[in-house]
Amino acid sequence: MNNRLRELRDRMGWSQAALAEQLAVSRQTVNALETGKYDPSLPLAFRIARLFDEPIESIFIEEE
Amino acid sequence: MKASGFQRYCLVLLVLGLCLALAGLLGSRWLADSTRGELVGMGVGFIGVWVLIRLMPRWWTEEVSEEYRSTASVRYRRRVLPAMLVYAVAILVVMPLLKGGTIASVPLRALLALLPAAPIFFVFHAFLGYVRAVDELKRRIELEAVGIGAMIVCLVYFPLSLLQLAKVIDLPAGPAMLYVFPLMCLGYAVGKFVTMRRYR
Repeated sequence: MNNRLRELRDRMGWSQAALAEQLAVSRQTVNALETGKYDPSLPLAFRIARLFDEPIESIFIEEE
Repeated sequence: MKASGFQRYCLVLLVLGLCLALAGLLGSRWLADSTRGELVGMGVGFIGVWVLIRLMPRWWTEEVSEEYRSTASVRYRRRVLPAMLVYAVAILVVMPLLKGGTIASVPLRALLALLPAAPIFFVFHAFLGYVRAVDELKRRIELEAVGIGAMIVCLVYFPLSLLQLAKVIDLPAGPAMLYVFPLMCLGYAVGKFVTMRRYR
């Protein structure tokens, strides 16, 4: 699954560590999400969507 | 440059390993031969872990250093280190008593033999607490690592048990059973490295 997490984080000017702290996950988890190596659980995806104030489907895009 | 907490921890491992190995090598006057052997074995083990950590790639050291600072990791170490200390002392005290063959009572021998297993229960309990406390990706990494560790143990022991049944090999049961736990730990370490690399 592709996502816009890096783009959204860059827009806010946050480091991976800062985003990780706000999401209550580790920096490695943020890195794995951004590189598309790990897809988040639904609760984490909802936390990310709430934090950036965007719908989940606009952040996480299913690959064709 | 200031050493990180993880680097200091590695240095403590090295110093502890050298002290234990030297105590084993130089303590012929005060210690039994079997105890000296166990001290040297523990010392070499600690030094080996230090060497292994030094050989690891940079990305691994950086990720483990970050993990080392996490609240879950600090709590885990606070619970595991005392348990491992009790385990080491129990091994050093119990083994010479059992090997001496002076204890005739079977229940007492059983009690003494099982003594080092008690702190291992606390280690497992602490590990379970750690797995529950970390975030979802780290939990997945831990569980995949444990899975790989279990598979490695099965891959080693299952063919060996078949060979033993076919009377091709004749392994002594005691040491063979004793090596299940260290092999599981080794398999977990290999599994964790592989899984961490996969998600980095």
